[in-house]
Amino acid sequence: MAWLHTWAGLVLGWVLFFVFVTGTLSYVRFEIDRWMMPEKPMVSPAGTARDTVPRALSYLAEHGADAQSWTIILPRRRTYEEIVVWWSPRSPGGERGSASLNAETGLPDTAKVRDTGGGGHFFEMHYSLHYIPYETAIRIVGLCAMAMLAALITGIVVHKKIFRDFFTFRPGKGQRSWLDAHNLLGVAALPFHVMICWSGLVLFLFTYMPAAPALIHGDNGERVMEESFPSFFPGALLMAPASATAPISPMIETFERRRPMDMLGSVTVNAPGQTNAEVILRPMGHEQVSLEHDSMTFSGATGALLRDARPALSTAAQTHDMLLGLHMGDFAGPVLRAFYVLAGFASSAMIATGLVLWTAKRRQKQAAHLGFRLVEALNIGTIAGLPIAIAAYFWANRLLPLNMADREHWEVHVMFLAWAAMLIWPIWRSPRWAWFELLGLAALAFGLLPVLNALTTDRHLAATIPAGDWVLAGFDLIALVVGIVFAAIAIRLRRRAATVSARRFEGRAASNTDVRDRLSVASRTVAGVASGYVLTSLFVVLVPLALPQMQSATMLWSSMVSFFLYAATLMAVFHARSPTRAWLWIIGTSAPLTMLVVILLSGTAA
Amino acid sequence: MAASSFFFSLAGFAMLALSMARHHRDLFARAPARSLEIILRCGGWVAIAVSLGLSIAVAGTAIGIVQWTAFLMMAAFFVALLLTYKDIWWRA
Repeated sequence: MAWLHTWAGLVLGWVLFFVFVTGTLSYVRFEIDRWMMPEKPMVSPAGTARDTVPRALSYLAEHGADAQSWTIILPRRRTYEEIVVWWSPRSPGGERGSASLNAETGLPDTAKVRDTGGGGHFFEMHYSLHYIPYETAIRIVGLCAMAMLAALITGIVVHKKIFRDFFTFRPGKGQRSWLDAHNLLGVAALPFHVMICWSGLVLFLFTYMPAAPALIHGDNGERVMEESFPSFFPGALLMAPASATAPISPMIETFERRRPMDMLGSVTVNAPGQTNAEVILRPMGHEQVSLEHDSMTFSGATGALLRDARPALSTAAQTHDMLLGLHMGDFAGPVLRAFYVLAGFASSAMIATGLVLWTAKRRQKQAAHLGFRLVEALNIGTIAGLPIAIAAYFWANRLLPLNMADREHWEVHVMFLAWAAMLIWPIWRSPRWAWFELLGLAALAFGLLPVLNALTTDRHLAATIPAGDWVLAGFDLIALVVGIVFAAIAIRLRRRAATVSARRFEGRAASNTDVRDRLSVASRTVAGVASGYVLTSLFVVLVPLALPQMQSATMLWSSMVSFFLYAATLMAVFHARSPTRAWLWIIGTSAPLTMLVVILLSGTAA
Repeated sequence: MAASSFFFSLAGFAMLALSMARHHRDLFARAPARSLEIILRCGGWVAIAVSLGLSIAVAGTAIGIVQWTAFLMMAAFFVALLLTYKDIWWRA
């Protein structure tokens, strides 16, 4: 069990660290967007929904006249206070159009903004990496998330003194302190870790667990999703005679009266300008966690209220929704969102302390081994190097020429080039000095960001603080604080690097050099990872087949729960007394289940 | 009102921590008496329950539970740090 925890954590730890750091930054991606587009106006007037929506509608009437549907996204509290609109074409080959409108004028901002991906790149990277084809990348991340789930559960099982050591942290004791830190970060934020892993897996539910819809419905989960979430897939929008559109203000008024606790978030007009036009008003979603929001539907031609009810969802669908809502955190106000960011960094720190602990435990016995030195270099290059790479991304945003071709992609290239350089650097430096140097570089890279900002734009602290634009000012200030924290850590490390550390911790340093041991481990790994997946898939298909009522809901349930079953299978395989027993168990349960599935499937097909 | 929920979580975990001999000794140089231990344990759990009630009362059930979980996590971490670095703020 401890073996599973250590190796699942180590092999995928660096990717997981990347996923968690970029994922945490995703919670503030709109704020990062703003800092990376300094040409945008500083603090623009928000305006009320009743003012901004009609302006957006007139823009859409002009630019998306024969579209199939219009969508208006109202300014969230934390973006530019801009309206985003898009229209989808009636004909299949038509272009989908979109625009960002200034809330006051209803027209696109005229300032020429630099070509940048902003914070959105962090969001994309955290589930689809970069430079790797999408389908492969999301499966790699899925594997990592699954490994982390297994690592979390095995971590709890292996942590024998979980209640006694709940509040315990003993700094300054070498390996003991790293273990304490790893445990404290893991246990204190455990609900978050489990939630974020599970919900992350559920976000790509039928990509990672395709067995149920593939075998029962013969598709990729489309039918399950349509049956579970009816309102997101409106019926075909037919052509109908033209008609004037009813005024929007009374609709907004009705909405605000019936939803006093929330704000208007988006307006969708289906089949605009026709007699069968529908106007759907959705709330911002600040009063509920789930992503599925209670929308109000009005007739576009007459203005009458057609539907004001939340579509009845099955419990499975509601759970699915709740999980996605928890992962995305869109519902969160400023306090909870700050917590999301702290928790995300706690997860990243838990992974980082785990990686360092691996080297701390084995340093005495294995310091000369190639594998050990590789792990240590990767640790330094990732834990200290990735922050430097992220800072490099921001430096590139300010320094790359504005009219450069592919500027947006080059900002990302700079980030990965910097990371590659940080991974190479520790190879010929002694670990202690490499840590100090990279942490020092991180301190400079972040601490000097406000200075760079002042030298290259006019959105620096001296301008943003008086204007009261706390998003822009906050970015600079937080960069400064991050730089100071890195500097403090680097200085402490320098003092220790200069003295020889005499602390030794008598722990068991695991070293598997026996060939037979290695084969046994390899055998269990194949049994767990590959056959365990087959067994889990069988379960996922079997339950809905055995309970054909509410089959879509059951398919959702069995797939959502499957990840825990997979983790349990992995743990059982490594807990079995020998690899042979593990294989016997897996085959012994898979064979009859396979027969059962085949019988049930042919029975329903007949 | 949301802050009060956090403070109840903090108080709850502080009481639970102090009900443990190890941490009680950190601050008071001896283990707690049995009666004190029981009071601190029960008080700690009650405070955490009150924190849940406050969160739900302010923010509704779904968001209230999420908020309470967040406060619990922060409070646990905070209490652990306070105990670790007690020399900064505690005079025995």
